Amino acid sequence: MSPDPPGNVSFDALHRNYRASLLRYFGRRVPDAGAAEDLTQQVFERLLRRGEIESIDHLGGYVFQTARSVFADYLRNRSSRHGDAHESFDEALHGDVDFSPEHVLMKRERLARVIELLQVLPERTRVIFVLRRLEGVKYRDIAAQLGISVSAVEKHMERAVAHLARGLEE
Amino acid sequence: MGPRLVPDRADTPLDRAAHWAVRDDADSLDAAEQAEFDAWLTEPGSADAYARARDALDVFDDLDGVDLSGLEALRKEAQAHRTRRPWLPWAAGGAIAAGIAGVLGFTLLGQPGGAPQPTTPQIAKAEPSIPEVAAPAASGAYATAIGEQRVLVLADGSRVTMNTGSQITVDFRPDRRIVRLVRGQALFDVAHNPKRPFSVAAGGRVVTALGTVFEVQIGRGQLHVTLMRGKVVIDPPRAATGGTAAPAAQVPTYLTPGQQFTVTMRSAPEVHAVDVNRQLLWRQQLVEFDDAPVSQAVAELNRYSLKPIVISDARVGQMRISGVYKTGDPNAFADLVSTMLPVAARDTNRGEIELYPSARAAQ
Repeated sequence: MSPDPPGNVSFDALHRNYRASLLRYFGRRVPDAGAAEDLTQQVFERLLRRGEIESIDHLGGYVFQTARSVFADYLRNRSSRHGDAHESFDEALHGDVDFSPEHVLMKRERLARVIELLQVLPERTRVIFVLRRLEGVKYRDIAAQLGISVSAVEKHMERAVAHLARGLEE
Repeated sequence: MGPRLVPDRADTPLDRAAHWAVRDDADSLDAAEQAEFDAWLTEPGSADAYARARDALDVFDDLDGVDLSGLEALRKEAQAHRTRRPWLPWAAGGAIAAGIAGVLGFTLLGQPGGAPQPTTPQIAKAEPSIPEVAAPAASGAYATAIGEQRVLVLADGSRVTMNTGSQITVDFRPDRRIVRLVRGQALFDVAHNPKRPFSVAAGGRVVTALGTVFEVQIGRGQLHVTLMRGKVVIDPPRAATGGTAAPAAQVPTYLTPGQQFTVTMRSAPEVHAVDVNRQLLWRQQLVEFDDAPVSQAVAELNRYSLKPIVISDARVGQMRISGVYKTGDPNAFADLVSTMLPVAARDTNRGEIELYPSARAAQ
């Protein structure tokens, strides 16, 4: 269970504000809810070990940096176990809503940055990324609608993903 | 599988990570590629790069509470490239599920608009076929698996009938009873206690009841609240409580029995009349469609089963279907659909049932 040190109010707040988002973050990336729960717990443990949470600027960003590094460690440690690790679990942990103001602010800034980054992509690449990730259109349907091959759609997606990943790193 | 698309040029780890993230997103990793992916992951820098690429791929997935108007231009531009079919609102909700389920942060304009039912609808008693479980603790978390339904009897005698794949948390305090619907759908039959209001928090809204039977459902970017008996009030989104941006008008919505409140990420809330017994068919493991697109029917059926039905061709998704179907039996549904429509069904090697146009449709 959560190792709440007595009297550490900010850690409680952290837990309250980010738990649902972290579960959802990991829920999309790992095969079962138990694993997502474990990884979420690891994020809190790392933050707790770091201490002085109050002094961190952009706490939300820091929480998700930590989450990403926990996820990267998970990938590294994942031996040859795979199989269902790549099934879609999008639905599994969705539906919860976290409106902590700090987190919302962080997400809003990040979204503005994403829009900027998308604007500098070629139109077709941008349209494909939006159709896939915002509108949820399948690769083969995008291919059919744009009159190109599925592998061409994937190439556009790769470019968009690499571009966004670089841009979001700043 | 088709030709290999592994980038073996002098790509950076991030380029390769983008490749793998997209292959995964396209759901097209075969066993050989999976092995290759796993091998690649062990290389230095790969795991970090992959985590970054996943973040980039998923940029639209966690936007709860964020004003989405900035996305409208992108969405319009993308839609202009979709030539073949108009965007069905419901299908859109289903498609978005993959991306942004549960996004419900927008300005509230809620006022009862639908025609109210003339009389209080009669609802059938909870189905004896649903197992009942006592949940006497003042706080706790409860979940149903895919295909499972359960009646929880809470400490105050209130009954919560949970549908498939749902999760709630219970937080009973001396002055308030709070239940959070984390995901899925549940029917609340609330024990009357005016001194201790009973609230359900879901999708950024709070539904408060006094001696009432109502149902709440979230998912696919939508929130539905259906009132069977009594009275509920739905509060506006809580986004303002943090003090970041205070929306101007915050009007609570009151429902009368037989009304359903619906809000999606793209539309203002609306209230309309529903047939409550039809709404509650799920308690008898049934679902009814009335001239619904097959894509919608499949999305609904898939809530109840670990063996998903997939539609490989948009034409199938657009066909219409009516009737009452058993939930939790995707094979039976697929069989019925293929007798009624020019559609055939087959099992894929991924454990899915694929619906595709039969020879009749191709002509």
